[in-house]
Amino acid sequence: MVLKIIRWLRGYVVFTIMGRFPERFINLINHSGIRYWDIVPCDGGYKGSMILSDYLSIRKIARKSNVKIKSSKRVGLPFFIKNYKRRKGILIGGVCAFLIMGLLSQFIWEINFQGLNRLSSSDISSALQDSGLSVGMWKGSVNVEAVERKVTLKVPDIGWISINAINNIATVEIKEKAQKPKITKTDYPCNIKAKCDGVITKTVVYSGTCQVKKGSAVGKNQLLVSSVVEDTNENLTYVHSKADIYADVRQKKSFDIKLSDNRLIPQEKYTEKTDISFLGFNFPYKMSSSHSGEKASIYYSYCLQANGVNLPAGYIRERNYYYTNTKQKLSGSSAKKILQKQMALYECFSEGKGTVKSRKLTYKKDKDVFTMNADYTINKNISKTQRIRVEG
Amino acid sequence: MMKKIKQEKSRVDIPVEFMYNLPIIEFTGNRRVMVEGSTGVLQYESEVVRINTNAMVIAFSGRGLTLKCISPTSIIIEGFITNTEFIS
Repeated sequence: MVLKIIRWLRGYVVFTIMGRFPERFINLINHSGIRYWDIVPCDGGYKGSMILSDYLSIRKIARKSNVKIKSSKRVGLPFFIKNYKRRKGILIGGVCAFLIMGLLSQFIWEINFQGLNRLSSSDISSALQDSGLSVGMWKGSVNVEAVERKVTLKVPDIGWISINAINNIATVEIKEKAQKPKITKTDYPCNIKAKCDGVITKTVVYSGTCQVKKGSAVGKNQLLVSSVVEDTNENLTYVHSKADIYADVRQKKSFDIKLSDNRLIPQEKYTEKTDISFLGFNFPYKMSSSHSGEKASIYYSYCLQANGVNLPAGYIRERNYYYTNTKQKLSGSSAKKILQKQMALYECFSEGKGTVKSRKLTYKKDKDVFTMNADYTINKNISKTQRIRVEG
Repeated sequence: MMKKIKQEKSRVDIPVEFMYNLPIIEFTGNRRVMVEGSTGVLQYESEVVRINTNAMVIAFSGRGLTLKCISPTSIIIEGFITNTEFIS
């Protein structure tokens, strides 16, 4: 392959030798140190290839050996240049392309993150930008060690950081700090009591003496697990009680909504604005007239890629959705749907640790307010610790 | 003559091929042959290749014979060699 490239760069000629003594010609060029290859016999002579500079110097040998040489193919860079000699624009364009490539390769066009688990890449990239590393920066102006120090100080959760600026990509390797575990003190005696009323369904006692059984009803602040433990020798000791006591708990929650109220209604129309980003600069390309009223904007950014590397060219599209503040009157069924959504969110986020066993829903319409009452039976852990003081 | 050669060889311990300019021929099956000590190509066709050396002329016959590599002192021939002839 390398040999082929060298031959192409130097230029070579495929020639045919015709005459009475072509072998003599081969011997003569062989002794004069001229290199040739692929020499094969053909009708009345030989066919072979030779570097252009050597081909120009074998005329004398050809005359001496009484053979005729004819070039059948000319390949390589010298012939290519000769063909395009008059078209100077191609040469200038090629030189310019190389210069631009060389210039653009001196900038950082992409920042990659490795080793992020808890930390977000947007936080780190903003910290990097503040510390002196951002997309579109001159590679030589980045003081990697200073940036590493500054980012470590800015983001305290970073344990170790390394920035490698190779080619146009800055790879940021981060090792996050191990989080300090939550330490709960267990060196004092305590009882476990009930947080609320309920019927016990499951008891998991790790330490202490359980005072309730499955199926028994308990009231709020009733003792569930005692810290007094009796051993086999009838000695009493105080321990730090630890247990999970699950009970079915009845709970009420009401959700309400106004039937006629001012609400933001999304409009069907939206406006778009497009900017072309090139070499870190944004140029407005397409704009549309804006509407009055509340709006929500969504940004889409697209970047050209080559071999998985982001190029410094692309476009950013901003889409604005408009809302009108209108007085809307809800029907009973739509109000019911909205309240059921609210209830689902409540069950998911507020009562996430418990399991909803049953719910009974009742609806009430009172003038302008629609109310939904939910009567839940939730199975949840009702244990809470209460420290006791031991005297003597 | 042979007696004389043997005597000389035992006395100076030099390989025979160097003493008498004999060519070194190395065959790889019948598909490739390397001739060291050649002085030129006398005939080159796809059926016959004749190589001149200081001591003799060597003719290789076969099918599809090609000169793979030529240098002033050695030649490599590739193809289907069926016959080798030494003409002195």
